[in-house]
Amino acid sequence: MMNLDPKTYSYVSKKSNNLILIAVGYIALLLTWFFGSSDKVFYFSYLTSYFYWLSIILGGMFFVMVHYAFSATWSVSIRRIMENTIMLIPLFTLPFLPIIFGMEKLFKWLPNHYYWKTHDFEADYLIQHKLAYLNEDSFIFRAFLYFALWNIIALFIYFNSMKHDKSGDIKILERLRYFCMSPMGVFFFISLTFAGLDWQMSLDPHWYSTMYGVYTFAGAFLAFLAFLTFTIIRLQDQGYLRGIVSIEHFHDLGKYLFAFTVFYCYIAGAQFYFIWYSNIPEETIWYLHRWVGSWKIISVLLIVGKFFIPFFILIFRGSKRNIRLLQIMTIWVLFMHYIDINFIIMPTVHKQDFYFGIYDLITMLSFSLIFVGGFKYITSRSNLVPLNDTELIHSINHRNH
Amino acid sequence: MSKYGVIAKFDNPQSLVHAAEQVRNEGFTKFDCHSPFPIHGMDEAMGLKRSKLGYVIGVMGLTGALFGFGLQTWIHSIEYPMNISGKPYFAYPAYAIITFELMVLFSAFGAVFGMMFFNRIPRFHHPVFYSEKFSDVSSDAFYVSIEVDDPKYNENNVIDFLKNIGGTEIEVLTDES
Repeated sequence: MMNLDPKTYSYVSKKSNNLILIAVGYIALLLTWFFGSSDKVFYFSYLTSYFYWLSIILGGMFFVMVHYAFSATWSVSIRRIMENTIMLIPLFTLPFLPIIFGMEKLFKWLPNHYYWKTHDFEADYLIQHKLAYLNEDSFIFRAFLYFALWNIIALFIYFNSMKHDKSGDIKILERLRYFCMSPMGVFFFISLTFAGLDWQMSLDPHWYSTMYGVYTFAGAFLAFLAFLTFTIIRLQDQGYLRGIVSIEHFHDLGKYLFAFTVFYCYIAGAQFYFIWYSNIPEETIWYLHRWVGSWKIISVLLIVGKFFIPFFILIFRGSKRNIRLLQIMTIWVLFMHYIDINFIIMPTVHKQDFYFGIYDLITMLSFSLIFVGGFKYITSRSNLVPLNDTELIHSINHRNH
Repeated sequence: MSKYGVIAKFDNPQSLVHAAEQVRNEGFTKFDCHSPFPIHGMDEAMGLKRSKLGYVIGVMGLTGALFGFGLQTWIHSIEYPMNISGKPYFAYPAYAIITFELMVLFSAFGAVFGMMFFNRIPRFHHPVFYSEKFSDVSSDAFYVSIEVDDPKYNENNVIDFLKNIGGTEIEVLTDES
């Protein structure tokens, strides 16, 4: 085994501070819910902020599973950070409750949605056809299934990895590989797809897009990559992971960031072109809602900011190997991801203009407290790298050719 | 009868990399290393710069994209305007796919022909093949060649130098044509 300075891989963070951060986040959310429970705007803001942070975790779940399924070696030294990210899913399970309680304010396909007080629900042919899928019971049941699955995946991977950290038993890594290669990966993708359909696409129940599941995944994974890169740079600034994560790893993460920027553009573009070509009213209406007032600016900002800016900056080798520039790009991508989620959810309620209000601010801040506090707490529980993994040395010496 | 240069054999990849480093440190610029398989670290040892192929592909890609977009704009809104399902003549969303495809096509051409240009291929013969033993390089031999064109080339010095750094079976190659 090589000699690593324990200071570089044992993360120190005060446990009580982090628990306070989490508690403050939860209390702030509860208070906002208490005061905003009668306001439909609150639920939309809540859903936006919630899905923003949840998508980072879900993108991480995909990356960890891919890592194990292929026994990747380059990423062993950054694997623990991904595992810590997915362990946040238990913290994000209970905050789904306000969405269930606010369903009739959020989803138009419920008969007791306020829209149907003045309109005839039975006469809406398109919604009547979808009621077999879009109804209260099955929505809650599906949400339960998603969270059960995500919690099982996160707990299984995290605790087996912890066990491997103690014993170094190669059989545990094998078990993890079989777990991630098994239909679990397929189930995960199905759950992510249907979560996107349930929680975002069904906000406008007339509209549908077959691209939507992939769109959710592309956004989530891009956000996670930005978060991962940002976190590693931050840890290195604080003196951790020096000599473990090298410029080569940042180069690879930069490549991922670049590749999935292109992938996102491809998915979002394909969705738009299909709808634009066929020109069917109930499909084009979705884009029409996003092409009024200041939403127009947001739409253009998404095209320019989420594709062109990262594309033309990250395409150069030099910028992927320039850590400060990469850090700026990760912050930019995370910001654009928020704009993207807002662009998807918010036009349902703010029909005229883009609006960032007090509910958006408080819910975003509260979830970020839970996320950051939880991440620090979980990270300080174990070493920053899997010390007993025999591939660690290969990962440290990893090089791009 | 023109001279091509001097070749020297080395026993294994490590000694070839080491030899390449020394040849570079000695100040030679027109030299090459030959081995049956790619060796990691060879580019650094020989002091090769990164390929400029990427920039060629980038320029070609942009050219292709602009060409595709320009072509469709010219056809659909200037030369032969046609009403297709009520969409405007300058329906730029519809142009995206052809624009993208032509970008890919032009970059692929840039990649292939640029690579051939930088590698100076197709080339049907090379003076190193005049050596009888050089054909071993396709199985288990590792050769360094230093060309006559090198400004520091001085035949006796080069032969001594190659001997010093561990080269065996040193040959002076002449172009027979």
